[in-house]
Formats: sequence, structure tokens, C-alpha cells
Amino acid sequence: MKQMVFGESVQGASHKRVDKECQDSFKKIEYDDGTIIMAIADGHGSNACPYSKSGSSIAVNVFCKVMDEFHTSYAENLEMLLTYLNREGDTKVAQAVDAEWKRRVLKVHTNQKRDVPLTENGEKNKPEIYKQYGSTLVGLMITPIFIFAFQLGDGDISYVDQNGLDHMLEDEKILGVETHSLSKIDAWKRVVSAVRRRDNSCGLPYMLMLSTDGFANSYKNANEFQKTCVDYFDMIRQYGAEAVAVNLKSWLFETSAMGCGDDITVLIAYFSDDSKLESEADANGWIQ
Amino acid sequence: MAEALKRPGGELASRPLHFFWVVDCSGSMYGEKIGTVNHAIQSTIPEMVDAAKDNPNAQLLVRTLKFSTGATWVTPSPVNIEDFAWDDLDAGGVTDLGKAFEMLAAQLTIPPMTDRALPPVIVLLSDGQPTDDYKKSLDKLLHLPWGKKAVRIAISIGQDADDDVLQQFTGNRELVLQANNPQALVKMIKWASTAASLVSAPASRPKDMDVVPAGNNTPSATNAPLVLDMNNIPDPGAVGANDVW
Repeated sequence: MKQMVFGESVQGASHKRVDKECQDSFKKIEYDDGTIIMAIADGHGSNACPYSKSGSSIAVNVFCKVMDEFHTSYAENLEMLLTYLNREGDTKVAQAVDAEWKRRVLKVHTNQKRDVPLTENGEKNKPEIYKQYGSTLVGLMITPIFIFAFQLGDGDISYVDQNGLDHMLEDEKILGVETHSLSKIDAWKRVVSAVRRRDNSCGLPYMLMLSTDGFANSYKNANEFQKTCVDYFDMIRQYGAEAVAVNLKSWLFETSAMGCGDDITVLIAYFSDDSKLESEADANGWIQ
Repeated sequence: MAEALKRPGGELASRPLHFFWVVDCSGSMYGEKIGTVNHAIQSTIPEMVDAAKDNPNAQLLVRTLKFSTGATWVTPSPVNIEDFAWDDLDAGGVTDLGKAFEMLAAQLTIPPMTDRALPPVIVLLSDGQPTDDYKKSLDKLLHLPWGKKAVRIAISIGQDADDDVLQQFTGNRELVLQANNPQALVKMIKWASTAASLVSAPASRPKDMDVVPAGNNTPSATNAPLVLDMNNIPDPGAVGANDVW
């Protein structure tokens, strides 16, 4: 089996107009045993959240760090890790991510010598600090035997194969512009997670796509967004992952400009049979 | 070298932003009041068009609902701001605010609203007390998902307006704007019209951000202060104090 992981983050069209930097972040780690850890995060970007770019960056780093520790601890026994994540994904794992994010936010805030809001008692008002770094977080850990999905706040995790599209998680859809956030006290309680076994003997090729809400919100409706995920999968099958990776940034800029104007991040993991990935792309002249 | 490929995917679209003028056309609005409302709303249109051009990723759709004896949609369906024209309203009859809330609620369900829309903006202008049973339909409106999320502003015209009712609608005393003379009314209408541009380029925000008073789970509670520039609300006392309705 062959795998390719790639992604892009683009500044939204409406953010460009007001000279606001992209608030999204993403990160991926690939291991020799084929395990992949990947995460995206969307900083809120409102005036009340001036450091949300930093918040989203911290979020993806924390997810990768926490899952990396699990990968190290359970490297010899992935079945046990599967069981643990299935049982504790939206409790202990969520609590670990939540706590570490908040710890790092306080550290960054102090190191950067930023204004520290105080409570009536004169103590550091931590909730008010967290608020300034508000972000969502969506992540995957893909091991040789299972896929673990984790989500806090808006965004999408889409699984596409030859049978079509499936959503790995159903996060609570909140109307308007509100979302669950790492910045809230007890944010971990809003995490949703799921574990799915991988059967590498069948089902290839398939694609897992993480996307921030700017992507889905740019399409006319949910059907058009789902069609898009399938189209990306078909594009990779026809032209190869490398060709799609090269074009992805310009496509996302165009999507934001003609869609909702928000920042957009898309991170894709594509898995295929060895022979087919190269032969299709080669036949299309994409491999030099 | 990889050649550029055509972007895959479905149909792209900006996000709809529904803006509602809800205007009291009862008998007490006759004369200077309704004249000022007509003139002021008409005058906001060019600036709203310009603001919409500054943010092409939001599709600003405007509608007008008038109420007196009964309520009627002046605009049967949402109109792009670029195509929106104000038809002068007349005044006469009683104040069926409840009917207006009922008709508004019917337009805030999903459908006809979509779940990818931006929060709608509702500006209610009234100078008197409701003459029908408004509470039930207001309650229904405020319990709708889009009713709760809507940015709700009220302009209280003259000293006979029932501000308590208007506050029940807005969920926030600060969003009941006082207009006791023509100049103040023009200013308040102009300020309210800027809500569209603020909602159209919103950042996301944490759910239940704690500006809403702690423990206040009533549907009337609003997050509108998070979107609007509350510091910029015109001071009604500073405008033409000599001429008062």
C-alpha cells in the first residue's frame, strides 16, 4: 500500500481585504511504520481573540504531541491502543489535549509579556487569557490497523472511497458563526471522537480529508460540498496525488474568493495500491 | 512540470445575510414619523450597497415587513441590496406586533433559511404599544434557532413606545435605541443599517461566549453585542433635544 499526505492553508479572501493573517494551522507527522498523525485548527479571529493564530498553532502541535506519546507507548501493541482510544478518546485523551493546550497558552502569554487580565481578587484571570487564543481542533491518528478521529469545534473529517463519501464524525452543527472552542473551561467535554478499524486488504484506494469550516461554507449547500470531496478523490485517482498537491493552494484561494471568504485549510491522506497510484498518474503524464 | 488543473468541486456560493426592516405603520406613526422613517431608510440604501460591495463573500438580502392592523410583507421575497428600492409606507390602523412576529418567524425556519446563512439582522421600529397578543408569537420567534441567533435591534420612536416590549424582543436594553425626534430617528436608522456590514464579515466565536449574563438561558438573551459596535450607538440626548415626539 502506498500513502501520500499533503495539505495547504490559505488566507481567506475577506481576511486579505482587511489585512488579517490566516488564522488556520495544520500539522502532520509520518512514521516509518506507516502511522500518520494529522491535525488542523481554525483560530477564531474575532477582536476578542487577537492571538487565535497562535492558539490554532498550539492546538495542532498539542494534538500531534499527545498522539505521538501514545504512538510511542503503544508501538508494540496497537490493539491495546485501539481499545484505549475507543474507550477514552472523548474523555482522557480529550482532557489531556485540553489541559496541555491551556498550559501552553499560559506559557506563551507570559513569555510574550502580554497584558494579564486579573480577577476581582487580583489573580490571573485564566479564562480571559484562554479566550484570546480561541481555536477549534480536528485531528486523525491513522495506524496500520485503525483510524482515530478527534474533533472539537467546526470542521469536517471526510472519508472517500470508490463507494462514495462518509463522515467519520458528526459534530454538533451550530448555526451562524459560533463554534465549540478550546478556550472554554471544560472544553474537553465538547470533544467527539471515534475509532474505525482499517482493513487494508480491500477498499483501496481511499482518502481521508480534514478541512476547516471555510471549505464547506464556501459551497452552495451540503450536497455540493460532498460532491467536492468526491471530486478531489477522483482527481487524485486520475492525475496522482502530487498533481493535486501542486494545484491545491490555488484552488483553495479560488474557493475562498468565490465562496465564503474565510481562511481554508485542507489536509489529505490518500492510500492506494502501489501499482495503481503510479500507473494512473504516469499514464496522464504527471510523473517525470 | 505539473500543469495547472481546473479546480474540482461543486458549486461555490457566498453566504446569505438576511436583513429585515420591520416597521410600525399604525395610526400614531402618521405624518412626520412615517415620513422620517421613509426618508431615513431610503437614505441608507447607497451605503448598504457600498458595504455589500466591500464584502462580496456575503450576499446581503433585504426585506420589509409592515404592521398596523395585521401585517404584510412589502417585499414578498428577499431582494439583493443592489436591486432593493424603498417603497414609501403609509400609516393607519392599530399595532399588531404579534402578527408581525408570527410572519417573521415563518421566514426564519429552515427552510426557507439555510443552515449556512450568516446570522440575520432584524430592525424593529415602533412608536407605541402592541394591540394584539404579541407574547406567544414573540416567544415562538425567539425559540427558533435562527430567531435566537439573529441580531435584533429595536428603534423606539417617541415617548409612548413600550420599551419593555422592545427589550423583550432585543434581549438587551442597549439595543433598544431611543428616537424622540426626527434627527435622532435618522441617526438610529443609519446606525442600525451598519449592522449588516458587521455581521457580513464576522469571525467565528466560541459558543455561549460569556457576555450573555451568567445563568441567563432565556431565548431573548442575545450575543448581538459581540457583533455590533456597541460603543458607537448614537446618543439620543445629543440630537435635536428641542423637537420631541
